[in-house]
Amino acid sequence: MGGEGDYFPGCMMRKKYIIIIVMGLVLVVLLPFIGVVKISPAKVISSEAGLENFIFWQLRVPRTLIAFMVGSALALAGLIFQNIFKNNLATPYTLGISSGAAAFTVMAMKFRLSIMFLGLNGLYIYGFTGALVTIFIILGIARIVKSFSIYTLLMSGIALNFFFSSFILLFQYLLNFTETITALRWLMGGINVTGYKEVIFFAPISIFFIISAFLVRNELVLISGGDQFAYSKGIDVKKFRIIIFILVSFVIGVVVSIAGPIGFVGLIVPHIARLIFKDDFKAVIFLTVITGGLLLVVTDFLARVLIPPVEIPVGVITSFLGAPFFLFILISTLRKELK
Amino acid sequence: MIDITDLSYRVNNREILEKLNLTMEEGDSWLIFGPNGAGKTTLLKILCGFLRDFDGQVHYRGSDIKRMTIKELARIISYQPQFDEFSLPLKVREVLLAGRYPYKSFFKDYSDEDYRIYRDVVRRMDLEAFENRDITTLSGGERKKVLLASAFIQDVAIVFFDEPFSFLDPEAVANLRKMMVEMNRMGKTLVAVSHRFEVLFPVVNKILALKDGKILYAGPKVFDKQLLKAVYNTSFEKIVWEEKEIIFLDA
Repeated sequence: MGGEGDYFPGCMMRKKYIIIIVMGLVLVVLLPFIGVVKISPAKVISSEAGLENFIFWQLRVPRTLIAFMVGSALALAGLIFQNIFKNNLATPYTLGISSGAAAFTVMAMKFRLSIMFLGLNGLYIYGFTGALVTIFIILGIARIVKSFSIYTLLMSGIALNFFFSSFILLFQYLLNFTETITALRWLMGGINVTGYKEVIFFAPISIFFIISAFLVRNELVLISGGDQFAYSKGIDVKKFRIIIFILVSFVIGVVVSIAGPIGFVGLIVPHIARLIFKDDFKAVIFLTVITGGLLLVVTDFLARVLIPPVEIPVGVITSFLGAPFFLFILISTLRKELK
Repeated sequence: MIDITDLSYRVNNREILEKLNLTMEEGDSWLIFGPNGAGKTTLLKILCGFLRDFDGQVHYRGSDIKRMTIKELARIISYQPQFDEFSLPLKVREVLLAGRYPYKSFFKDYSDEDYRIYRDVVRRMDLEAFENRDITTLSGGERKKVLLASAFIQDVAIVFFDEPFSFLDPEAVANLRKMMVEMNRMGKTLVAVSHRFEVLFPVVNKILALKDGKILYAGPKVFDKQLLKAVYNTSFEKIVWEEKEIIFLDA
């Protein structure tokens, strides 16, 4: 006897997880069949090469997989940042880290700095650098003003967002016409993959990221109680934070190089995971991963089918939903503080 | 058990603490008091290991604090912040269980023994009703109680308090003080930095008066009007009523 089960009743909760997993599987399996070209299951299984077969296996399936992994990575990055900064408005996107990654990536596009790595575009290295540079600028500002308050962080994030936007505009201006269209399309955030190169590249990173998050769950719980609280419980806060920032920057760099700066997934999903599923942090991580993945799979699906045959960039949809959500959280936070 | 030798701390050439020498015995309860800017918080931060760039030496049970890892320190001391920063929804039981963190290795989960100690403290401190609540929905006093319980679960010898009574209502102040006394009675060393001299003086056995980074007095508790006048520039009075010491500001 012993272990968690004895003390923390989990049976009622378990049902919830099963429902979510089943729902997720159904969506992930079902959605690739639907689109401008309707695909019958029979065609997909048959080995004969054909347009439907190609669209299904080479376009929609990898796209769905990437959407899931990108969504869960963004949501998880958001959750981790919220805990480290003790505020649910602090995410890599709202702090300008995604746009830092984007600016560096566009720069690399312009100057063709990209090196090939494992047969893949090495743009993510620039995204990683951009994300890391942005984090350390924000931390530097916070250190100078000796305040890690959310206002310091968000204001710095806004300023950096403006700065990187001008950077991006400049490089866009310098790009030729075709490149500009490609860059613009990419900057709106979207998942356009063909075949499995990106899937094979991103899957191990994504799994590594999720496992890491589970491993540091106790540290994340403690750090949300304040640096000194976490320290007095035995966590080397400074070291932990730096390791996490490097990890998250790397993941954000990869995500941005694959899918562009998709906003607000990291803001919406953890908030929902915390509020709706009132449970341990371990469960919050799990649900953030699953719902984050599903949210992007569904939004990407909507992006494909809402105005056929046009595809809406998925980032446009997430921002359309996310910005009002941001305001909603901001208002409820401020109201709580003023009480 | 806490040996402080020639402890000095400087920021931008300004002396915050000047050559402090002090020994704190196991089982004592200390009230550290003094005006704002006296160096109380700095002293607390050094003793808790938050600041390590000080001159002089601090030893816990003979080991040099500068050579102890953060985890080793967390098995001996616990720090009760003036405010906790929990603002995201989180179960109280997770905050409590965090008290076992210093005993856990990175890849292992909390053990049965950890859960047993956790359970034990929850029962003793009547926290069953709070376990499954979200910490952000608790009142200030309830949060203090939860954090204090986490120090019990942490199973430390010394508990440091930074302004424990700020923003608490009188009932919460009384409850917290009762818990602190109980804690001390159970053998834990208590070190509290507080402006609430009148609240803590009656229940501690040692006092430390700090002003301008120097110790004015450190030792067994005495009600010394001149000392208080020197520290605070204000007069305090004491009366004994039904065998209780009552301290008040004579303003």
